[in-house]
Amino acid sequence: MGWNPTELIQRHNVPGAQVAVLVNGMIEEHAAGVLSLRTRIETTTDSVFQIGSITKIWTSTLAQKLVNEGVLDLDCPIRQYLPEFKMSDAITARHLLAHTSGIDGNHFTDTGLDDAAIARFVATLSPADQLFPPGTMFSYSNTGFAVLGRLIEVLHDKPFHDVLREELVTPLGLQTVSTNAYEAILHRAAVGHEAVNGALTPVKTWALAYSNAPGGAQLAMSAHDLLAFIRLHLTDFAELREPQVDVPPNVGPPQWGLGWMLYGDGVVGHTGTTIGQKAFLRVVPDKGVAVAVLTNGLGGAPLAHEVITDTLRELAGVETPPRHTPPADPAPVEDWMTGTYRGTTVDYTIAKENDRAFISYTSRDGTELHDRAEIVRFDDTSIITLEPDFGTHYVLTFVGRDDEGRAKFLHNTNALPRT
Amino acid sequence: MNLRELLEKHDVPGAQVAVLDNGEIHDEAAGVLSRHTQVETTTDAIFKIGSITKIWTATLVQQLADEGALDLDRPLRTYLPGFRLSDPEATATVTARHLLTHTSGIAPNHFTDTSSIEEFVTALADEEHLLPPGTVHSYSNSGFVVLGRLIEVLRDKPFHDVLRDNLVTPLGLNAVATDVYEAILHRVAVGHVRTTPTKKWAVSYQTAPSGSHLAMSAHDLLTFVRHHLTDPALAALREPQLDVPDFGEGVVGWALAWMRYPGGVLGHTGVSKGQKAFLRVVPATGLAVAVLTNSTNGVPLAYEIFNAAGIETPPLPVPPKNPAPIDDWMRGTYRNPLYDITLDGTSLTYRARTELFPGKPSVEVVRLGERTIITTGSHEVMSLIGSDEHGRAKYLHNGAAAYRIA
Repeated sequence: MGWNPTELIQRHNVPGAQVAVLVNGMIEEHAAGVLSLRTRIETTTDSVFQIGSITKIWTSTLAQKLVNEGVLDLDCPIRQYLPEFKMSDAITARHLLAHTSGIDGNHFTDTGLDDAAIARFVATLSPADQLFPPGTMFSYSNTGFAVLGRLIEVLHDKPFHDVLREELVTPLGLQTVSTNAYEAILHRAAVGHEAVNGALTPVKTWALAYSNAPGGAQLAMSAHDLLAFIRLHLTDFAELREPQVDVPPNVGPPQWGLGWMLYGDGVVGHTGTTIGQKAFLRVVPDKGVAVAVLTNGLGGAPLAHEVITDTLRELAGVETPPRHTPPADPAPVEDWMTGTYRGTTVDYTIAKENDRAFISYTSRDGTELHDRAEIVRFDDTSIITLEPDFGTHYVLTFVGRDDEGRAKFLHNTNALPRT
Repeated sequence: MNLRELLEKHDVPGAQVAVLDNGEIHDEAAGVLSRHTQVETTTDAIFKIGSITKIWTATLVQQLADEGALDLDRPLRTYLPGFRLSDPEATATVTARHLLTHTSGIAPNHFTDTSSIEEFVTALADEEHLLPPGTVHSYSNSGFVVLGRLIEVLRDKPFHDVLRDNLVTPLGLNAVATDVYEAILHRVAVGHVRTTPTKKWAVSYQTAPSGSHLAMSAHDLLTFVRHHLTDPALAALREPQLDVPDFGEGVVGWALAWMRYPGGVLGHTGVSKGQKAFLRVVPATGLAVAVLTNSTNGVPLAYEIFNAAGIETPPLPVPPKNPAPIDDWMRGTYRNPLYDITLDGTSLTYRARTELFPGKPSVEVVRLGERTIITTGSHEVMSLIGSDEHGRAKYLHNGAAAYRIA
């Protein structure tokens, strides 16, 4: 492969990274840079990085194991297993795995660190958190995966992290996998970095709230151990890769399976973003090839895209689509697109000013966040941020029309209803 | 011998040493933070200080006393209306001073499955209370958790927020972590049983005010100690409160939270999941020494450093070659929350009183001093103190007290 990890992290302004490549059943591993710009501890191949939402593949695997054991039916109402679940009776485990449940996706309520944290979190959900009828569209839901985690706890009668350890970590002999900071601190552990006044700075909070563990809040490991887990998927769990739902154009992969993002051309994977750490996984199961890129900086996305493009081309003969960039001569943003759209914690407003257009983000409690970015038209139904943010232009897509012909939802993998 | 050589001599993976002298702090670091990760110890790395945390908790208590929000001698129940121990008399009479001097009679530790300091203190209501307040010194971690709760209630904030807002931030300490999620942002020491890394970094957070999670550099620990030596309000904590029986570590008494050593030396020791921390302060000269280690082997290393710094620290006691006999007045059965302990002429036998801690094997003991015995295996020292109507010892004391039942 043509890439050099040390050169990559310097060029993309990432403090540290690990890359692992699975080919012919063997895992090749690389490490570069430092785990934190504060401690300057060198990244090694046995250091641990947070994998963020790639955790959802682990949670999905635990759910499928319960299906295989005849304990769980993916098409039965969740309430049949979780009587205390207060949302729609129609929601099934399949909806949660494919992000079609309609459960508002980004509740990160901190309900503590103990074994009851996930149960307490699920108890905070109510019918008011239902965005659309279950099964009618795709909307990425971290919250839905917390419900799955609770389902797994109840069916095993054990805390989620104990199930994870007993069902996957221990049998696979994975030495670096850490389910929380108490375990991660025993390893060389990566710390995320964010931009403070333009300078890359170690974060002050290591991880998201433990309540979201099943969706990817705290799980950390080496790129090697991530691929040692993925190797299991080359022989088992193919049913998780069956397409379940189309994703609105341009915002993510074209389709979603059960847990898996389906990129087309036989490529599946997932991405993970936590506080200042970004993780990337691509797998070509038919070719027995996988690549994992774990980073502790915001420039992780373009870095990983380079590694993935090069690796999958060479080892699997697959071309990776280029990253989105604004068109040279964009069409105008139209009036039916403008308005305010509601996320779990943030309102998104699309507005035109003279011949330009902007997206502004406002924290719903009116306190934290007041930010805006210029946007241009990307294609018929999508817009894109004009300036890259650590190498990434964000694309958002309008979905559906209301009675007045205005967009019903703005979609950024989360469906954001017009308010 | 430099620090690196001392680490090799005593088989300790890593350590920090800081010395406060004439208001200046000098620090050094050597070895690795974990034999597993092989990350080098630096002077800004953090080690757990274990029970030295009790000095921090006591400082927060003293701040409340100085503000007039707390009287150390009024019953705790005045400030914690729901506070309850299983013994109504103890509930009504325990004060903050009892807790700061380990004379409340609250058992050393409780292993209840609770998720917060508040719940931990609430659960004490269902726990046996064996020793009436004020009768005997008996080291209690749980007592300091109660003080932590008192601080939370009077400040209306979580304990670690008070610690940060009232000490860490005003003192400008950059290498202090109040929990594991803060600690992981630093170079952080992992404990070792001798030289094998422990599998757990810390015990449950609910006991934080007694010293389960607080971690820092030796430098920042002495910055805190310098504050004690320069802020007149904190001198009150150094007033001698009581003498204690010999339990082998050279401690002769207690001030408020501070351990007293001979020669006007104060200090504390902290032991936490394979990390051992040591602090000695000579208020009269302004000298202080902190030794933070990540091994159960840390004791002789620390003592060697204290002696080299001019703080005389005798070696830990060992069984004498020709011990005197263990007298009849010493023998008998003594009760603590976990065991009924029988001392005969040659051994201590432990009969479990709870399912949580099943019986442990008998250990051989010999006479050490007039009122002391020492185990021949791990060299644990215990005193036989008090005198009942038959002239027999009333308590077996190893830092915590067990009372005679037969």
